[in-house]
Amino acid sequence: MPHLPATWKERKEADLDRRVERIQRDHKFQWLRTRKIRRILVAISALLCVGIIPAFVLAGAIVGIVVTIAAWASWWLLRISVRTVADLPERFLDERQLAVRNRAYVYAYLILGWIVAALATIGLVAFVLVSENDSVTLTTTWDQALGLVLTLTLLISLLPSMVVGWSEAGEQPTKLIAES
Amino acid sequence: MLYSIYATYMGRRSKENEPAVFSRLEEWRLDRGLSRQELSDAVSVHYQTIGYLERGEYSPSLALALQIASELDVPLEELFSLQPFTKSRKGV
Repeated sequence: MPHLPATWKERKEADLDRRVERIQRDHKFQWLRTRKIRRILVAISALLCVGIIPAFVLAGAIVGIVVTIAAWASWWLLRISVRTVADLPERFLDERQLAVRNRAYVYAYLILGWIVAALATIGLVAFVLVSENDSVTLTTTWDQALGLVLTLTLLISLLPSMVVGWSEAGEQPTKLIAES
Repeated sequence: MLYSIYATYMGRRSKENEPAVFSRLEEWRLDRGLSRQELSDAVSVHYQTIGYLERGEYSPSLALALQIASELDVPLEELFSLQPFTKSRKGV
């Protein structure tokens, strides 16, 4: 009698195994895995991420949510394009993929660090400039706060896949049957 | 710029200083009648990794190199070398 997954954790693990197997062996989305398409996806993802805050601030919550969904969709495509290498647990990766993932996280950390440092510096400088008379009232709306939180959350999730997508060469077509 | 920061802080050697590993993997794989997918399944790596190894774009760990050599039943030095292979494996 075959072993049936009993617990919730076992079912979740089995489901993850199936999904990873599917994406690692996938040939259907091979058109997404060329260097050119990967870099286009990275550029689109970056633009959409950067666009979330202006969308919320300038055009309102509805447009902001639409841009956020578009950014999420581009992330989804980018993950398929790089076979989710940046997001998988170690046990699913071979030694080359693991090296790629680890390198991507170092770069992603550096990029995120620079972005956060730049945002904090700009914010502080702006605050110092406008608060010369010590009577500044800072106001913000829920939409603006939501835009900032969504941008940072998406950036944290996206950056490793973006680094992999930008730096990795496109996949070579492979013959499933050996030539004689 | 990011690469120089990474290289400086992570103590990584620049890619130019890494020794190249030359490979005759594709030749031997085809000789054994295996596809990349079949070989990758046998040694538990992704089939694209076999492609990277065949093109000399990735240097395998010793464990992986030995596994591949064992799977193809070929001496390790016939598969990978730090010197370019001067003649084909048939000695021609």
